[in-house]
Amino acid sequence: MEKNETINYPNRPPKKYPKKDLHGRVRILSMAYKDFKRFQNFYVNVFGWDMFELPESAGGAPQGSARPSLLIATGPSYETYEGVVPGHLNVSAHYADGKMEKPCFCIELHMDRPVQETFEDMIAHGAELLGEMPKESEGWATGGSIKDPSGNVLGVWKCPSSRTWEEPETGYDEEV
Amino acid sequence: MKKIYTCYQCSFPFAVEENQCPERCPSCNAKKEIFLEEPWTGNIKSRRIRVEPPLPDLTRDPMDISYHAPKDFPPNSMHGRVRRFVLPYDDLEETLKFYGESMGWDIVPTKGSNSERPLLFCATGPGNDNWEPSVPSFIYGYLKPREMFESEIFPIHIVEVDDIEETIEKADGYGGKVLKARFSVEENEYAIIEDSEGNIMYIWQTPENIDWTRPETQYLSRRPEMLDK
Repeated sequence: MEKNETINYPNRPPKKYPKKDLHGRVRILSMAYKDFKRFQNFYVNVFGWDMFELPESAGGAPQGSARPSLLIATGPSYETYEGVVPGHLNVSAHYADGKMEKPCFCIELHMDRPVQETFEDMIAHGAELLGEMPKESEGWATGGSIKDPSGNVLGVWKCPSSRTWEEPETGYDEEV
Repeated sequence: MKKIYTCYQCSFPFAVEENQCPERCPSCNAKKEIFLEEPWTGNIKSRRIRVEPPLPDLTRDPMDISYHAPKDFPPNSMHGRVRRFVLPYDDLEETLKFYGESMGWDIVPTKGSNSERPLLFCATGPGNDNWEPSVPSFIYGYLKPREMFESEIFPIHIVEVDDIEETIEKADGYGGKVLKARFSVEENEYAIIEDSEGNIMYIWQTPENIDWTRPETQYLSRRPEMLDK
């Protein structure tokens, strides 16, 4: 077995994860900005990020807004702005209406369970629900926000059933 | 009646009831008029219509935010990639219960860290022997005792960079600033910077002994089957 030479992780691979289940994967980083052009200049020039305007039908701001919502490739990504190669995360960005917001990670939830059941399980394990309990929907945005037991705010999201399971990001451990 | 729609611009397929079909593609915002449609046969995987995905346009203006296929990234560089999360924790037992049991993460203490209050490394999905994810679009990261953070500074993500000093200089030129100059942790080099909007992040310099054959180091924004195009 190969040993990682840079950081002392255990000399075993991670556990095996089940197929057709992305539950628990940290899937996107949500960031805010106050000045779009300033934000864009920073990230295109300092980090080489590649961004496009998130469609309104996927939860973005109205098209052509001076304060657009964005999907951003921070590394190699395919045409829907999911990564092509493993190991990096893409970013969504939006205008902070009012006070500047802190970055927040979004974690994917079980697709084969009612979203309320998953939320109840998270709450039973120490999470705090922020806002109302989400309702199941066939739309693109079934999910909500929680606080973990240390108060970190997390977005949590259940993918709609339109997922084809051919997408590269839906891979899993073949041995399971 | 449920149908499968495939966007002719970005190739994204989705299945919805005909009367719920969005006016615009949820992936690229193309108008409904260019969707290709076919009957729902019980499984989106069995669809007959397949559209070849668009390729990166190497002449595109990087400031143009209209829909486009993502660019190819430079070879032998991890510069700019969001690579790790770093979340503070207070109570170890509660943290392990939530992330280990409810989220299903594989959580291990990093070697050399305090056994009572360890720095934890977390696999959040399938991974390789080197504890890097084995499939795209998610990351691994750290759960870190709150007292290990700088006072009042809680960066929660790590961006990998080619060179810390060059990145700090560039960030300074585009409205950012350095909050903590270069420092070392377990032979890895980091700094903490703030972007032009006040977002705080770690930057991590790619280690010198990186293996550029590893899956996570590749750079082309193309599906594997399109790599020869």
